[in-house]
Amino acid sequence: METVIEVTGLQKRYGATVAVDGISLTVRAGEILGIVGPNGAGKTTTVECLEGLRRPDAGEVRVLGLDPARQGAELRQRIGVQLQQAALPDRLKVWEALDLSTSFYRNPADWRRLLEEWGLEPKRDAAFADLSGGQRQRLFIALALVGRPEVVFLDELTTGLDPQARRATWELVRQVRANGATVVLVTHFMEEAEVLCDRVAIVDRGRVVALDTPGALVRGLRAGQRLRFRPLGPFDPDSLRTQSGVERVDRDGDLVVVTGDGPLLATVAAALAERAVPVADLRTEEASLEDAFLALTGRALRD
Amino acid sequence: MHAFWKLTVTELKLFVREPLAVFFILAFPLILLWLNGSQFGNEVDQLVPGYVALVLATVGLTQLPGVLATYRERGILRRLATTPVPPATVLGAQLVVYLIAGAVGVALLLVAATVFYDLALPRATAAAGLVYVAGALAMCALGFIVAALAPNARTANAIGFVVYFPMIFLCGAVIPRDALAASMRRIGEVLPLGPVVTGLDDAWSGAGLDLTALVALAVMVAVASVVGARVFRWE
Repeated sequence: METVIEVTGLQKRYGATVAVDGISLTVRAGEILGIVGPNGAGKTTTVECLEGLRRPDAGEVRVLGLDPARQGAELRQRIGVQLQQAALPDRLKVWEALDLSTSFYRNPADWRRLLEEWGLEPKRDAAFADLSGGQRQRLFIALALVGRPEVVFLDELTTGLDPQARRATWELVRQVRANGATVVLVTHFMEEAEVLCDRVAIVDRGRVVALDTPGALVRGLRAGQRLRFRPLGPFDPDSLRTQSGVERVDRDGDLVVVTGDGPLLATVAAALAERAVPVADLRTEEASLEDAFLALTGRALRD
Repeated sequence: MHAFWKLTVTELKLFVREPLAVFFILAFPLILLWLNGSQFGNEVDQLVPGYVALVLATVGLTQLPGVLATYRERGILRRLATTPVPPATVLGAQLVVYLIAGAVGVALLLVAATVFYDLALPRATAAAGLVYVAGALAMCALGFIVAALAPNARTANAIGFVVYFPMIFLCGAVIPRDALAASMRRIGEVLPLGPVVTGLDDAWSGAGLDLTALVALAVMVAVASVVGARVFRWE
Protein backbone atom coordinates (compact mmCIF):
# COMPACT_ATOMS: atom_id res chain seq x y z
CA MET A 1 0.00 0.00 0.00
CA GLU A 2 1.64 3.16 -1.16
CA THR A 3 1.69 6.05 1.29
CA VAL A 4 1.04 9.40 -0.29
CA ILE A 5 1.10 11.64 2.78
CA GLU A 6 3.09 11.15 5.97
CA VAL A 7 2.74 13.43 8.96
CA THR A 8 4.76 12.87 12.13
CA GLY A 9 4.48 14.90 15.29
CA LEU A 10 3.09 18.02 13.60
CA GLN A 11 3.03 21.04 15.87
CA LYS A 12 1.84 24.57 15.22
CA ARG A 13 1.02 27.37 17.54
CA TYR A 14 -0.21 30.91 17.04
CA GLY A 15 1.29 32.97 19.83
CA ALA A 16 0.11 31.33 23.02
CA THR A 17 -2.57 29.20 21.34
CA VAL A 18 -1.54 25.68 20.43
CA ALA A 19 -3.48 24.83 17.27
CA VAL A 20 -1.84 21.51 16.46
CA ASP A 21 -0.31 19.52 19.28
CA GLY A 22 1.49 16.52 17.85
CA ILE A 23 -0.58 15.18 14.97
CA SER A 24 0.62 12.09 13.13
CA LEU A 25 -1.17 10.35 10.31
CA THR A 26 -0.65 8.70 6.97
CA VAL A 27 -2.77 8.83 3.85
CA ARG A 28 -2.72 5.94 1.41
CA ALA A 29 -2.74 6.25 -2.34
CA GLY A 30 -6.21 6.35 -3.81
CA GLU A 31 -8.09 6.71 -0.55
CA ILE A 32 -10.53 9.37 0.49
CA LEU A 33 -9.53 10.48 3.97
CA GLY A 34 -11.88 12.62 6.02
CA ILE A 35 -10.73 14.96 8.76
CA VAL A 36 -13.52 15.85 11.15
CA GLY A 37 -13.58 17.79 14.36
CA PRO A 38 -15.10 20.79 16.08
CA ASN A 39 -14.13 24.37 15.30
CA GLY A 40 -10.67 25.16 16.53
CA ALA A 41 -9.64 21.50 16.61
CA GLY A 42 -6.70 22.17 14.32
CA LYS A 43 -8.05 20.50 11.17
CA THR A 44 -7.65 23.47 8.84
CA THR A 45 -4.21 24.31 10.25
CA THR A 46 -3.10 20.73 9.71
CA VAL A 47 -4.31 20.70 6.13
CA GLU A 48 -2.71 24.11 5.50
CA CYS A 49 0.62 22.64 6.63
CA LEU A 50 0.10 19.80 4.15
CA GLU A 51 -0.62 22.30 1.37
CA GLY A 52 2.39 24.42 2.21
CA LEU A 53 0.35 27.47 3.20
CA ARG A 54 1.69 27.32 6.75
CA ARG A 55 5.06 26.37 8.16
CA PRO A 56 4.84 23.94 11.08
CA ASP A 57 6.76 24.70 14.24
CA ALA A 58 7.85 21.10 14.64
CA GLY A 59 7.29 17.71 13.08
CA GLU A 60 7.70 16.26 9.63
CA VAL A 61 5.36 16.50 6.69
CA ARG A 62 5.83 14.66 3.43
CA VAL A 63 3.30 14.90 0.60
CA LEU A 64 4.18 12.79 -2.44
CA GLY A 65 7.60 12.53 -0.87
CA LEU A 66 8.07 16.31 -0.89
CA ASP A 67 8.34 18.76 1.99
CA PRO A 68 5.57 21.33 1.42
CA ALA A 69 7.56 24.05 3.16
CA ARG A 70 10.80 23.55 1.28
CA GLN A 71 9.68 22.01 -2.00
CA GLY A 72 6.40 23.84 -2.34
CA ALA A 73 6.87 24.99 -5.91
CA GLU A 74 7.30 21.43 -7.16
CA LEU A 75 4.51 20.10 -4.94
CA ARG A 76 1.98 22.68 -6.11
CA GLN A 77 2.28 21.31 -9.63
CA ARG A 78 0.97 17.98 -8.38
CA ILE A 79 -1.72 18.91 -5.87
CA GLY A 80 -5.06 20.69 -6.11
CA VAL A 81 -6.49 22.76 -3.29
CA GLN A 82 -10.00 24.00 -2.66
CA LEU A 83 -9.98 26.41 0.29
CA GLN A 84 -12.89 26.97 2.62
CA GLN A 85 -12.84 30.72 2.07
CA ALA A 86 -11.73 31.84 -1.33
CA ALA A 87 -12.53 34.38 -3.95
CA LEU A 88 -11.73 35.49 -7.44
CA PRO A 89 -11.83 39.03 -8.87
CA ASP A 90 -15.48 40.07 -9.13
CA ARG A 91 -15.53 40.68 -12.87
CA LEU A 92 -13.59 37.59 -13.84
CA LYS A 93 -15.68 35.22 -15.94
CA VAL A 94 -15.96 31.52 -15.15
CA TRP A 95 -14.32 30.38 -18.35
CA GLU A 96 -11.54 32.95 -17.97
CA ALA A 97 -10.70 31.67 -14.50
CA LEU A 98 -10.42 28.12 -15.76
CA ASP A 99 -8.52 29.09 -18.88
CA LEU A 100 -6.06 31.19 -16.88
CA SER A 101 -5.48 28.29 -14.49
CA THR A 102 -4.45 25.98 -17.27
CA SER A 103 -1.45 28.21 -17.93
CA PHE A 104 -0.19 27.49 -14.40
CA TYR A 105 0.35 23.76 -14.81
CA ARG A 106 2.71 21.64 -16.85
CA ASN A 107 0.06 19.14 -17.91
CA PRO A 108 -3.33 20.76 -17.49
CA ALA A 109 -6.71 19.15 -18.06
CA ASP A 110 -9.10 20.37 -20.71
CA TRP A 111 -10.91 23.23 -18.98
CA ARG A 112 -13.95 22.90 -21.24
CA ARG A 113 -14.44 19.36 -20.01
CA LEU A 114 -14.15 20.47 -16.37
CA LEU A 115 -16.68 23.23 -17.10
CA GLU A 116 -19.14 20.60 -18.28
CA GLU A 117 -18.38 17.98 -15.64
CA TRP A 118 -19.02 20.38 -12.81
CA GLY A 119 -22.22 21.77 -14.28
CA LEU A 120 -20.76 25.21 -14.97
CA GLU A 121 -21.38 25.28 -18.73
CA PRO A 122 -24.55 27.42 -18.40
CA LYS A 123 -22.53 29.92 -16.37
CA ARG A 124 -19.57 29.97 -18.69
CA ASP A 125 -19.68 33.73 -19.30
CA ALA A 126 -20.95 34.74 -15.89
CA ALA A 127 -18.79 36.98 -13.73
CA PHE A 128 -17.64 35.59 -10.40
CA ALA A 129 -19.69 38.15 -8.50
CA ASP A 130 -22.84 36.89 -10.19
CA LEU A 131 -22.42 33.27 -9.15
CA SER A 132 -24.39 31.64 -6.35
CA GLY A 133 -22.59 30.09 -3.39
CA GLY A 134 -22.98 26.61 -4.77
CA GLN A 135 -21.72 27.64 -8.20
CA ARG A 136 -18.67 29.29 -6.67
CA GLN A 137 -18.00 26.13 -4.68
CA ARG A 138 -18.10 24.03 -7.84
CA LEU A 139 -15.84 26.49 -9.66
CA PHE A 140 -13.23 26.32 -6.92
CA ILE A 141 -13.27 22.53 -6.98
CA ALA A 142 -12.97 22.55 -10.76
CA LEU A 143 -10.04 24.98 -10.45
CA ALA A 144 -8.40 22.60 -7.98
CA LEU A 145 -8.58 19.87 -10.61
CA VAL A 146 -7.13 21.84 -13.54
CA GLY A 147 -3.60 20.59 -12.96
CA ARG A 148 -4.60 16.92 -12.94
CA PRO A 149 -3.48 16.65 -9.32
CA GLU A 150 -2.35 13.45 -7.65
CA VAL A 151 -3.62 14.68 -4.30
CA VAL A 152 -6.68 16.88 -3.87
CA PHE A 153 -7.38 18.83 -0.68
CA LEU A 154 -11.01 19.84 -0.14
CA ASP A 155 -12.14 21.99 2.77
CA GLU A 156 -15.88 22.01 3.49
CA LEU A 157 -16.75 21.19 -0.08
CA THR A 158 -20.52 21.01 0.27
CA THR A 159 -21.23 23.95 2.55
CA GLY A 160 -24.10 25.96 1.15
CA LEU A 161 -25.26 23.23 -1.20
CA ASP A 162 -28.75 21.79 -1.13
CA PRO A 163 -29.02 18.04 -0.45
CA GLN A 164 -29.35 17.18 -4.11
CA ALA A 165 -26.29 19.22 -5.09
CA ARG A 166 -24.44 17.70 -2.14
CA ARG A 167 -25.05 14.18 -3.35
CA ALA A 168 -24.06 15.14 -6.88
CA THR A 169 -20.80 16.59 -5.53
CA TRP A 170 -20.07 13.39 -3.60
CA GLU A 171 -20.46 11.44 -6.81
CA LEU A 172 -18.03 13.76 -8.56
CA VAL A 173 -15.51 13.33 -5.74
CA ARG A 174 -15.77 9.56 -6.11
CA GLN A 175 -15.10 10.12 -9.80
CA VAL A 176 -12.00 12.15 -8.96
CA ARG A 177 -10.72 9.25 -6.89
CA ALA A 178 -11.65 6.76 -9.61
CA ASN A 179 -9.43 8.76 -11.95
CA GLY A 180 -6.50 7.99 -9.70
CA ALA A 181 -6.25 10.89 -7.26
CA THR A 182 -6.03 10.71 -3.48
CA VAL A 183 -8.48 12.95 -1.67
CA VAL A 184 -8.15 14.58 1.74
CA LEU A 185 -11.29 16.33 2.83
CA VAL A 186 -12.13 18.40 5.85
CA THR A 187 -15.77 18.39 6.81
CA HIS A 188 -18.13 18.96 9.66
CA PHE A 189 -20.97 17.04 8.00
CA MET A 190 -20.90 13.64 9.64
CA GLU A 191 -23.04 12.13 6.92
CA GLU A 192 -20.50 13.28 4.37
CA ALA A 193 -17.64 11.66 6.26
CA GLU A 194 -19.59 8.47 6.76
CA VAL A 195 -20.74 8.15 3.16
CA LEU A 196 -17.75 9.42 1.25
CA CYS A 197 -14.64 8.58 3.22
CA ASP A 198 -12.66 5.36 3.35
CA ARG A 199 -11.12 6.41 6.62
CA VAL A 200 -11.88 9.20 9.02
CA ALA A 201 -9.51 11.04 11.35
CA ILE A 202 -11.25 12.59 14.33
CA VAL A 203 -9.29 15.62 15.47
CA ASP A 204 -9.91 17.42 18.72
CA ARG A 205 -7.84 20.02 20.55
CA GLY A 206 -4.95 19.68 18.15
CA ARG A 207 -4.66 15.90 18.36
CA VAL A 208 -5.86 12.92 16.39
CA VAL A 209 -8.27 11.19 18.70
CA ALA A 210 -9.10 8.32 16.37
CA LEU A 211 -8.26 7.25 12.82
CA ASP A 212 -10.16 4.37 11.24
CA THR A 213 -12.90 3.47 8.82
CA PRO A 214 -16.29 4.96 9.70
CA GLY A 215 -17.64 1.45 10.31
CA ALA A 216 -14.87 0.55 12.72
CA LEU A 217 -15.26 3.82 14.61
CA VAL A 218 -18.94 3.14 15.11
CA ARG A 219 -18.36 -0.48 16.07
CA GLY A 220 -15.83 0.72 18.62
CA LEU A 221 -18.63 2.31 20.57
CA ARG A 222 -19.85 0.15 23.35
CA ALA A 223 -23.38 1.35 22.83
CA GLY A 224 -24.07 0.67 19.18
CA GLN A 225 -27.82 0.78 19.15
CA ARG A 226 -30.67 2.83 20.41
CA LEU A 227 -34.33 1.97 20.93
CA ARG A 228 -37.13 4.43 21.44
CA PHE A 229 -40.68 3.65 22.44
CA ARG A 230 -43.71 5.12 24.15
CA PRO A 231 -45.02 2.99 27.01
CA LEU A 232 -48.82 2.86 27.03
CA GLY A 233 -49.09 1.76 30.65
CA PRO A 234 -47.14 2.12 33.87
CA PHE A 235 -43.49 1.39 33.27
CA ASP A 236 -40.45 1.12 35.51
CA PRO A 237 -37.15 1.91 33.71
CA ASP A 238 -35.15 -0.11 36.22
CA SER A 239 -36.77 -3.25 34.90
CA LEU A 240 -34.79 -2.74 31.70
CA ARG A 241 -31.57 -1.46 33.23
CA THR A 242 -30.80 -4.91 34.59
CA GLN A 243 -31.14 -6.63 31.21
CA SER A 244 -27.92 -7.84 29.60
CA GLY A 245 -26.59 -5.57 26.87
CA VAL A 246 -28.47 -2.52 28.10
CA GLU A 247 -26.11 0.37 28.69
CA ARG A 248 -28.58 3.06 29.81
CA VAL A 249 -32.24 3.89 29.97
CA ASP A 250 -33.37 7.51 29.77
CA ARG A 251 -36.64 9.37 29.45
CA ASP A 252 -37.08 11.86 26.63
CA GLY A 253 -40.46 13.48 27.27
CA ASP A 254 -42.96 10.67 27.08
CA LEU A 255 -40.50 8.46 25.22
CA VAL A 256 -38.19 5.92 26.77
CA VAL A 257 -34.74 5.70 25.18
CA VAL A 258 -32.74 2.53 25.63
CA THR A 259 -29.07 2.54 24.59
CA GLY A 260 -27.02 -0.62 24.42
CA ASP A 261 -25.50 -3.39 22.39
CA GLY A 262 -26.01 -6.92 21.29
CA PRO A 263 -29.50 -8.20 20.35
CA LEU A 264 -31.05 -5.17 22.02
CA LEU A 265 -34.43 -5.29 20.30
CA ALA A 266 -34.98 -8.91 21.21
CA THR A 267 -33.85 -8.40 24.80
CA VAL A 268 -36.06 -5.36 25.39
CA ALA A 269 -39.07 -6.83 23.60
CA ALA A 270 -38.82 -9.96 25.72
CA ALA A 271 -38.54 -7.94 28.94
CA LEU A 272 -41.52 -5.78 28.01
CA ALA A 273 -43.63 -8.81 27.05
CA GLU A 274 -42.74 -10.52 30.33
CA ARG A 275 -44.08 -7.54 32.26
CA ALA A 276 -47.05 -7.19 29.88
CA VAL A 277 -46.24 -3.53 29.12
CA PRO A 278 -47.91 -2.37 25.89
CA VAL A 279 -45.81 0.07 23.86
CA ALA A 280 -46.24 2.14 20.75
CA ASP A 281 -43.90 3.83 18.23
CA LEU A 282 -41.07 1.40 18.76
CA ARG A 283 -38.05 2.44 16.72
CA THR A 284 -34.46 1.31 16.51
CA GLU A 285 -31.51 3.46 15.49
CA GLU A 286 -28.01 2.46 14.60
CA ALA A 287 -25.32 4.53 16.22
CA SER A 288 -23.79 6.91 13.73
CA LEU A 289 -20.42 8.47 13.30
CA GLU A 290 -21.80 11.44 15.17
CA ASP A 291 -22.33 9.20 18.21
CA ALA A 292 -18.79 7.92 17.89
CA PHE A 293 -17.58 11.48 17.72
CA LEU A 294 -19.56 12.43 20.78
CA ALA A 295 -18.20 9.47 22.70
CA LEU A 296 -14.61 10.10 21.69
CA THR A 297 -14.47 13.83 22.21
CA GLY A 298 -17.11 14.32 24.85
CA ARG A 299 -18.93 16.99 22.95
CA ALA A 300 -21.20 17.50 19.97
CA LEU A 301 -19.68 18.47 16.64
CA ARG A 302 -21.76 21.59 16.23
CA ASP A 303 -20.73 24.16 18.81
CA MET B 1 6.51 32.87 -18.44
CA HIS B 2 3.39 31.81 -20.24
CA ALA B 3 1.46 32.09 -16.97
CA PHE B 4 2.74 35.64 -16.40
CA TRP B 5 1.54 36.94 -19.75
CA LYS B 6 -1.78 35.19 -19.49
CA LEU B 7 -2.17 36.70 -16.04
CA THR B 8 -1.28 40.14 -17.39
CA VAL B 9 -3.86 39.87 -20.19
CA THR B 10 -6.46 38.78 -17.64
CA GLU B 11 -5.63 41.70 -15.35
CA LEU B 12 -5.86 44.04 -18.34
CA LYS B 13 -9.33 42.72 -19.14
CA LEU B 14 -10.37 43.22 -15.53
CA PHE B 15 -9.01 46.76 -15.53
CA VAL B 16 -10.98 47.69 -18.63
CA ARG B 17 -14.13 46.29 -17.01
CA GLU B 18 -14.05 49.07 -14.40
CA PRO B 19 -15.27 52.06 -16.44
CA LEU B 20 -14.89 54.54 -13.59
CA ALA B 21 -11.21 53.79 -13.20
CA VAL B 22 -10.60 54.06 -16.91
CA PHE B 23 -12.49 57.35 -17.09
CA PHE B 24 -10.62 58.87 -14.18
CA ILE B 25 -7.22 58.02 -15.59
CA LEU B 26 -7.92 59.02 -19.16
CA ALA B 27 -10.49 61.77 -18.95
CA PHE B 28 -9.42 63.80 -15.90
CA PRO B 29 -6.22 65.23 -17.47
CA LEU B 30 -8.04 65.85 -20.76
CA ILE B 31 -10.74 67.81 -18.98
CA LEU B 32 -8.13 69.88 -17.18
CA LEU B 33 -6.37 70.49 -20.48
CA TRP B 34 -9.58 71.68 -22.03
CA LEU B 35 -10.46 73.92 -19.09
CA ASN B 36 -7.06 75.55 -18.81
CA GLY B 37 -5.74 75.17 -22.31
CA SER B 38 -7.86 77.89 -23.79
CA GLN B 39 -6.47 80.38 -21.27
CA PHE B 40 -2.83 79.51 -21.71
CA GLY B 41 -2.87 78.97 -25.46
CA ASN B 42 0.69 78.52 -26.60
CA GLU B 43 1.92 78.27 -23.07
CA VAL B 44 0.31 74.85 -22.94
CA ASP B 45 3.75 73.30 -22.59
CA GLN B 46 3.77 74.68 -19.09
CA LEU B 47 0.69 72.67 -18.24
CA VAL B 48 1.26 69.38 -20.00
CA PRO B 49 4.32 68.12 -18.08
CA GLY B 50 2.28 68.50 -14.90
CA TYR B 51 -0.65 66.66 -16.46
CA VAL B 52 1.61 63.81 -17.48
CA ALA B 53 2.70 63.54 -13.87
CA LEU B 54 -0.98 63.68 -12.89
CA VAL B 55 -1.74 60.58 -14.98
CA LEU B 56 1.10 58.70 -13.31
CA ALA B 57 0.01 59.71 -9.83
CA THR B 58 -3.60 58.76 -10.58
CA VAL B 59 -2.62 55.30 -11.69
CA GLY B 60 -0.23 54.66 -8.83
CA LEU B 61 -2.26 56.03 -5.95
CA THR B 62 -5.94 55.81 -6.80
CA GLN B 63 -6.01 52.41 -8.49
CA LEU B 64 -3.12 50.23 -7.45
CA PRO B 65 -3.47 50.29 -3.65
CA GLY B 66 -7.19 49.49 -3.62
CA VAL B 67 -6.96 46.63 -6.09
CA LEU B 68 -3.99 45.00 -4.37
CA ALA B 69 -5.50 45.36 -0.93
CA THR B 70 -8.82 43.97 -2.19
CA TYR B 71 -7.09 40.95 -3.67
CA ARG B 72 -5.45 40.32 -0.33
CA GLU B 73 -8.54 40.95 1.76
CA ARG B 74 -10.81 38.68 -0.25
CA GLY B 75 -8.37 35.78 -0.24
CA ILE B 76 -7.58 35.99 -3.95
CA LEU B 77 -3.83 36.13 -3.27
CA ARG B 78 -4.05 33.33 -0.73
CA ARG B 79 -5.77 31.01 -3.19
CA LEU B 80 -3.02 31.74 -5.71
CA ALA B 81 -0.49 30.66 -3.10
CA THR B 82 -1.87 27.12 -3.46
CA THR B 83 -1.09 27.10 -7.19
CA PRO B 84 2.29 26.94 -8.90
CA VAL B 85 2.06 30.69 -9.56
CA PRO B 86 3.34 32.75 -6.61
CA PRO B 87 1.15 35.71 -5.53
CA ALA B 88 4.03 38.05 -6.34
CA THR B 89 3.42 37.31 -10.01
CA VAL B 90 0.06 39.04 -9.73
CA LEU B 91 1.89 42.14 -8.53
CA GLY B 92 4.10 42.01 -11.58
CA ALA B 93 1.09 41.59 -13.87
CA GLN B 94 -0.67 44.53 -12.23
CA LEU B 95 2.42 46.69 -12.60
CA VAL B 96 2.47 46.01 -16.33
CA VAL B 97 -1.23 46.84 -16.60
CA TYR B 98 -0.84 50.15 -14.79
CA LEU B 99 2.21 51.08 -16.82
CA ILE B 100 0.17 50.44 -19.95
CA ALA B 101 -2.80 52.38 -18.57
CA GLY B 102 -0.52 55.31 -17.73
CA ALA B 103 1.05 55.21 -21.16
CA VAL B 104 -2.34 55.24 -22.87
CA GLY B 105 -3.46 58.16 -20.73
CA VAL B 106 -0.32 60.13 -21.49
CA ALA B 107 -0.51 59.32 -25.19
CA LEU B 108 -4.10 60.59 -25.36
CA LEU B 109 -3.08 63.72 -23.51
CA LEU B 110 -0.16 64.42 -25.82
CA VAL B 111 -2.22 63.81 -28.94
CA ALA B 112 -4.99 66.11 -27.73
CA ALA B 113 -2.54 68.81 -26.71
CA THR B 114 -0.63 68.60 -29.98
CA VAL B 115 -3.74 68.63 -32.14
CA PHE B 116 -5.81 71.23 -30.29
CA TYR B 117 -3.28 73.43 -28.58
CA ASP B 118 -0.19 73.23 -30.66
CA LEU B 119 1.92 71.52 -28.07
CA ALA B 120 5.56 71.20 -28.93
CA LEU B 121 7.06 67.89 -27.96
CA PRO B 122 9.79 67.97 -25.29
CA ARG B 123 13.06 69.37 -26.46
CA ALA B 124 15.06 66.83 -24.49
CA THR B 125 13.16 63.76 -25.58
CA ALA B 126 15.45 61.18 -24.01
CA ALA B 127 15.39 63.03 -20.71
CA ALA B 128 11.60 63.17 -20.84
CA GLY B 129 11.45 59.45 -21.51
CA LEU B 130 13.77 58.64 -18.61
CA VAL B 131 11.89 60.81 -16.15
CA TYR B 132 8.60 59.39 -17.35
CA VAL B 133 9.66 55.78 -16.78
CA ALA B 134 11.22 56.58 -13.42
CA GLY B 135 8.12 58.54 -12.42
CA ALA B 136 5.74 55.76 -13.48
CA LEU B 137 7.69 53.21 -11.45
CA ALA B 138 7.98 55.55 -8.49
CA MET B 139 4.23 56.21 -8.34
CA CYS B 140 3.49 52.48 -8.58
CA ALA B 141 6.06 51.76 -5.89
CA LEU B 142 4.37 54.35 -3.69
CA GLY B 143 1.01 52.70 -4.29
CA PHE B 144 2.57 49.36 -3.44
CA ILE B 145 3.76 50.66 -0.06
CA VAL B 146 0.29 52.00 0.67
CA ALA B 147 -1.22 48.59 -0.13
CA ALA B 148 1.45 46.87 1.94
CA LEU B 149 0.79 48.95 5.04
CA ALA B 150 -2.97 49.39 4.88
CA PRO B 151 -4.88 46.86 7.01
CA ASN B 152 -7.73 46.54 4.52
CA ALA B 153 -8.95 47.65 1.12
CA ARG B 154 -11.05 50.55 2.31
CA THR B 155 -8.10 52.03 4.22
CA ALA B 156 -5.80 51.44 1.27
CA ASN B 157 -8.09 53.44 -0.99
CA ALA B 158 -8.47 56.16 1.62
CA ILE B 159 -4.74 56.52 2.26
CA GLY B 160 -4.10 56.51 -1.47
CA PHE B 161 -6.49 59.41 -2.02
CA VAL B 162 -5.29 61.30 1.04
CA VAL B 163 -1.76 61.20 -0.33
CA TYR B 164 -2.88 61.82 -3.91
CA PHE B 165 -4.96 64.99 -3.62
CA PRO B 166 -2.64 67.35 -1.74
CA MET B 167 0.30 66.01 -3.70
CA ILE B 168 -1.09 66.69 -7.16
CA PHE B 169 -1.84 70.29 -6.19
CA LEU B 170 1.30 71.06 -4.23
CA CYS B 171 3.64 69.49 -6.79
CA GLY B 172 2.23 71.49 -9.67
CA ALA B 173 0.55 68.64 -11.47
CA VAL B 174 -2.81 70.43 -11.60
CA ILE B 175 -1.90 74.09 -11.15
CA PRO B 176 1.44 75.19 -12.65
CA ARG B 177 4.15 75.53 -10.03
CA ASP B 178 4.64 79.17 -10.82
CA ALA B 179 1.09 79.85 -9.77
CA LEU B 180 1.68 78.41 -6.32
CA ALA B 181 2.83 80.36 -3.30
CA ALA B 182 6.53 79.91 -2.61
CA SER B 183 6.01 77.97 0.60
CA MET B 184 3.66 75.53 -1.10
CA ARG B 185 6.05 75.11 -3.97
CA ARG B 186 8.81 74.19 -1.57
CA ILE B 187 6.66 71.51 0.08
CA GLY B 188 5.75 70.20 -3.34
CA GLU B 189 9.40 69.85 -4.27
CA VAL B 190 10.05 67.28 -1.55
CA LEU B 191 6.91 65.23 -2.06
CA PRO B 192 7.31 62.09 -4.21
CA LEU B 193 5.59 63.61 -7.25
CA GLY B 194 7.78 66.72 -7.09
CA PRO B 195 10.81 65.32 -8.95
CA VAL B 196 8.49 63.93 -11.63
CA VAL B 197 7.06 67.36 -12.36
CA THR B 198 10.37 69.23 -12.20
CA GLY B 199 12.08 66.58 -14.30
CA LEU B 200 9.39 66.68 -16.98
CA ASP B 201 9.32 70.49 -16.91
CA ASP B 202 13.06 70.64 -17.54
CA ALA B 203 12.86 68.08 -20.31
CA TRP B 204 10.08 70.01 -22.05
CA SER B 205 11.71 73.38 -21.83
CA GLY B 206 15.01 72.02 -23.00
CA ALA B 207 16.84 72.58 -19.76
CA GLY B 208 17.95 69.00 -20.15
CA LEU B 209 18.05 66.13 -17.73
CA ASP B 210 17.35 66.96 -14.11
CA LEU B 211 19.76 64.44 -12.64
CA THR B 212 18.77 65.17 -9.06
CA ALA B 213 15.17 64.41 -9.88
CA LEU B 214 16.06 61.20 -11.68
CA VAL B 215 18.22 59.94 -8.84
CA ALA B 216 15.55 60.86 -6.30
CA LEU B 217 12.98 58.83 -8.24
CA ALA B 218 15.33 55.87 -8.62
CA VAL B 219 15.99 55.83 -4.89
CA MET B 220 12.26 56.04 -4.24
CA VAL B 221 11.60 53.03 -6.45
CA ALA B 222 14.36 50.99 -4.81
CA VAL B 223 13.43 51.79 -1.23
CA ALA B 224 9.68 51.40 -1.73
CA SER B 225 10.09 48.07 -3.50
CA VAL B 226 12.36 46.60 -0.87
CA VAL B 227 10.35 47.89 2.08
CA GLY B 228 7.05 47.02 0.44
CA ALA B 229 8.14 43.47 -0.34
CA ARG B 230 9.20 42.94 3.25
CA VAL B 231 6.13 44.49 4.80
CA PHE B 232 3.44 43.28 2.42
CA ARG B 233 1.11 40.85 4.12
CA TRP B 234 -0.22 38.23 1.77
CA GLU B 235 -3.33 37.52 3.78
